Amino acid sequence: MSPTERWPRWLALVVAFAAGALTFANYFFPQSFLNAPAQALLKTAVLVSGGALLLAAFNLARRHWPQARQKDAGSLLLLGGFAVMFAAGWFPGGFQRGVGGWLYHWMLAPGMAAVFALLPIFLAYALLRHLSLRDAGGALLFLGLVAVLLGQTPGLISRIPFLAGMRHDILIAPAAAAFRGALMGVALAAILALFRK
Amino acid sequence: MLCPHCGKENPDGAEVCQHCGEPLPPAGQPPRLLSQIQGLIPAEPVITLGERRAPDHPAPLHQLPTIPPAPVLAARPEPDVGSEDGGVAPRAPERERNVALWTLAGASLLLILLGSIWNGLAPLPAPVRPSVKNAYAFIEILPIDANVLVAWDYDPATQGEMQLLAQPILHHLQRKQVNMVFMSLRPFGPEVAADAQALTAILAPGAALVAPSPTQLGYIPGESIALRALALSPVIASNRPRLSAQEAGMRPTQNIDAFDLLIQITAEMNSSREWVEQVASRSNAPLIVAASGGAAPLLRPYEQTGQIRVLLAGYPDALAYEQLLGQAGPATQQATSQALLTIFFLGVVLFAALRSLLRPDH
Repeated sequence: MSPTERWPRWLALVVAFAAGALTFANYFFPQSFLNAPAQALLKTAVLVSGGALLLAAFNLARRHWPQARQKDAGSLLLLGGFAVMFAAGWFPGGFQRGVGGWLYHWMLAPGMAAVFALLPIFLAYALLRHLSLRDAGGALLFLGLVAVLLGQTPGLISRIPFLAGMRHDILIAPAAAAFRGALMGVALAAILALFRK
Repeated sequence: MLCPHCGKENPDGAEVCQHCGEPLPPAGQPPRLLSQIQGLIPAEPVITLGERRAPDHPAPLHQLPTIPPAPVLAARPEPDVGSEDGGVAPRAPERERNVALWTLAGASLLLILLGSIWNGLAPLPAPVRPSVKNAYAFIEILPIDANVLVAWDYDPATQGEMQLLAQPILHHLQRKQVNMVFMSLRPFGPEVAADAQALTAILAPGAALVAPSPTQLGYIPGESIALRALALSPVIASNRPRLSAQEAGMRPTQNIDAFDLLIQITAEMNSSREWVEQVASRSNAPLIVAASGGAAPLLRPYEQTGQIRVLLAGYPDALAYEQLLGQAGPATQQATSQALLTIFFLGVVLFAALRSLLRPDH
């Protein structure tokens, strides 16, 4: 019999329910005797979530180690980079001084920024290839883009203030409404899933 | 095969799980997400065209199906998606794509350089939104011994945009000589904070000299759980409770109300939502969020309902804040480059639209 099978199934349910009830009650009575156990629970939850890091490292090694042994350049680079960054974090000063600081300032930060900076180039290229005015959707996208870009230009904003307002309206109404609708849908689906089984 | 319900191993061909009794998917189907989680990471195993996995691969994976190579696809030359004539000359569109990408990248670089040499737009006044004025006022009225919590929730990837916003706010806080407490929900938060401090020390050395050194709570892992713990007790939530308590003069029993102002600097919407839900809802201190231009529209409803007291957004608000401060910073210095680049991308959009109208094959 495995260790998990020795425990009755209801025990896990009771522990989970008690932890949830305690945290829930503490939300309404933050300055009560519930404060200390709630904090301990939260710290424990953070520790447990920290286990995800170990799991991720294990998964990375399991996925790429066989390929690295076959001299796959990408996997070797990935595992090497992981090992170097992991080791650098243990040096005194972390990523602010010394080896870690050098890696952060001269490798990580410029690398991440450069990759992110390529995004507008790819977006512009995608527009160049695929933007079409032959349908209503394409025409609307075109008008929205022009208004947003005009509204974002510092020199033009200062001269034509209504452009800034137009950009604001375009982003607020359709983008925010659609996103919040999706969020509400996800929340409702989560509630429904609770009652499903 | 793995059971999608309990995650345990079953022999091939079994119709029901021998452990939980639930029906198993037919042979040949890849395992479902639930079993992947419960079976603890069987990585993405599904499609390996014509290849069997290495013999030393973990047991559950080698039982997964492999798809034999499709002879038709293998015999035919690789089709070209971009060409109009059916893909007999695959290299031409690739060249065209490379030329277009290099042209866009080169033109962008040229405009940035041009803007840094000739900064003609810097003296022009930018319109100041009421939100920017409010954020400025909230910091301006702080007493000299006020406690301000600043959360640095962005990565080096978005530092280019976020530091424009962070720098004038940090400069203002230093000028007011308030007690700043720094924390971050992201591993590299302390580093981006240190970079912003270094930049402010160069741009406004006077303010940086007179300001007290900020207390570092450091990186606090755990996302929304960490924020919940922070709201109950910032000292206990920190990884360095004793040091932080001494530096900040705070007691472990004090909750988030020990702060007079909360400021979050972030490039994404979700972390701000967690701040609203876990911290701002139980704090009397106003929450100011300085967000990227992309995240701001999604956060605007929180500002409209008052859950976020003030929302600063992207480059235009950074420029406006610098004007209120009366000191030119990186946003002012980059005004011309930003304008030229935006106009350039506007040109790309117009050109693409015109091209789509003129090309008969579209």
